[in-house]
Amino acid sequence: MAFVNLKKKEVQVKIVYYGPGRGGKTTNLEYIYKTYNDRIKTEMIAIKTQGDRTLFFDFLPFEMGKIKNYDVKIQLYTVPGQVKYDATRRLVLRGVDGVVFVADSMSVRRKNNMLSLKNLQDNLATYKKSIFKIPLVLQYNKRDLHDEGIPLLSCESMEKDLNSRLEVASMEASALNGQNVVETLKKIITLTMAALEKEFK
Amino acid sequence: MTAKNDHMIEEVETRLEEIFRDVELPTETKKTNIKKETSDPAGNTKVSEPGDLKELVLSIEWEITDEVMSRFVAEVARQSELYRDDRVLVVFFKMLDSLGKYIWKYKGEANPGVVKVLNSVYSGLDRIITPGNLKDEQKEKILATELKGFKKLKNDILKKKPRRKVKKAAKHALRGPDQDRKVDKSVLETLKTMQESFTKLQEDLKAFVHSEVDGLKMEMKRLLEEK
Repeated sequence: MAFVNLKKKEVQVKIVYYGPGRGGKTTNLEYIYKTYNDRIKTEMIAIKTQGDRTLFFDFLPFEMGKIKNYDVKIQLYTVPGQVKYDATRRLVLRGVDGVVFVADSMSVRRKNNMLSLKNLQDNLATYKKSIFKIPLVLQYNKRDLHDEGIPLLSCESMEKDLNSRLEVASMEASALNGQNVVETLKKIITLTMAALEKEFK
Repeated sequence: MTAKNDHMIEEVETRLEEIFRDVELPTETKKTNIKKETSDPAGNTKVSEPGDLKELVLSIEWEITDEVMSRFVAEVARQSELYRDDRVLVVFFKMLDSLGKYIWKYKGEANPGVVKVLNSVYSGLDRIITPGNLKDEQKEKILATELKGFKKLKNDILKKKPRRKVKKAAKHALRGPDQDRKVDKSVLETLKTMQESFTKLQEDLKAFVHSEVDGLKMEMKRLLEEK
């Protein structure tokens, strides 16, 4: 649940980018940071391995300013996608308010997407949270690879694999060139804020 | 946040529009280079299929399997033949071939920097193959940069090899004269593999424990701040 400081009139919202390794979670945050740094005035923290993989997590906080007299602070996190870092993923999910699931559109990654989504469901369950109730947006990333002749899963197929039961908002994206990166972020923030408002009512 | 905030979402949306206005790239900015062309000295247009190679490079990043490596080496050889008249490209393909064969041979035990160099060399090749206004000088500059990275990796690998030889010599010296050499060799190989696996496991565990502890510290800090 979001941290609300009534005295300071401050709300901290935690959004986690989840998904299989090499899917583009960090690239999403990097795009936001590089493109809007002048406006959000923040620092991105990324801890990477020698091979450029996320070791622990990436962290990008920014302030949305005052909304109904409350200072809203958004904290964006990514998790390491590699299977072996499950404990770290669970830890990062602690206190999560909204999730962006970054799926890899490459055909060869179909199984990894499904396993990672199942892993998200399991890890949320450890905090007694349901994947069916938490604000969630699916992002079908790397659509630009189609132009490079790399076989991709169709969006219909990804919807069937990942979203047939969830029925949440989903969008095609290319984190590398920024396509729908901000749309995804706007969507998850709006959904999360709506859920929080409902919760606090 | 109170129940009175009926229009909160509208306010959130407006604020988000303010923060992320204008700078967002339109969706049409997607790359449009479907096929990349180059010409041979005779002026015949050759159509490369960079997608095949790119897919294989991305696959190697993900997992090194015999199937992927065999396809990679074959694809490099095929494209190398296709561009055999272009001196710069030939050097690029030679580097890719060496890197591919090295990764195939050593797989998980390969130098950790090799995949990064492979990616970099491929990116350099991709930049040169992409139709554009690159002059020969620029192409050679890109090649020189990639060659530098490639040579650095090669030196790193070579530096580690003598140590292995020393170890091997030490093991050989320690071996008793009456021992059966065949048995000894296999035992030493097994021990060597076990030792390497153990060292790797130790390093992984160390790195992982460090990262988990750092994470826990941050989480604790956050909790304390929340309180």
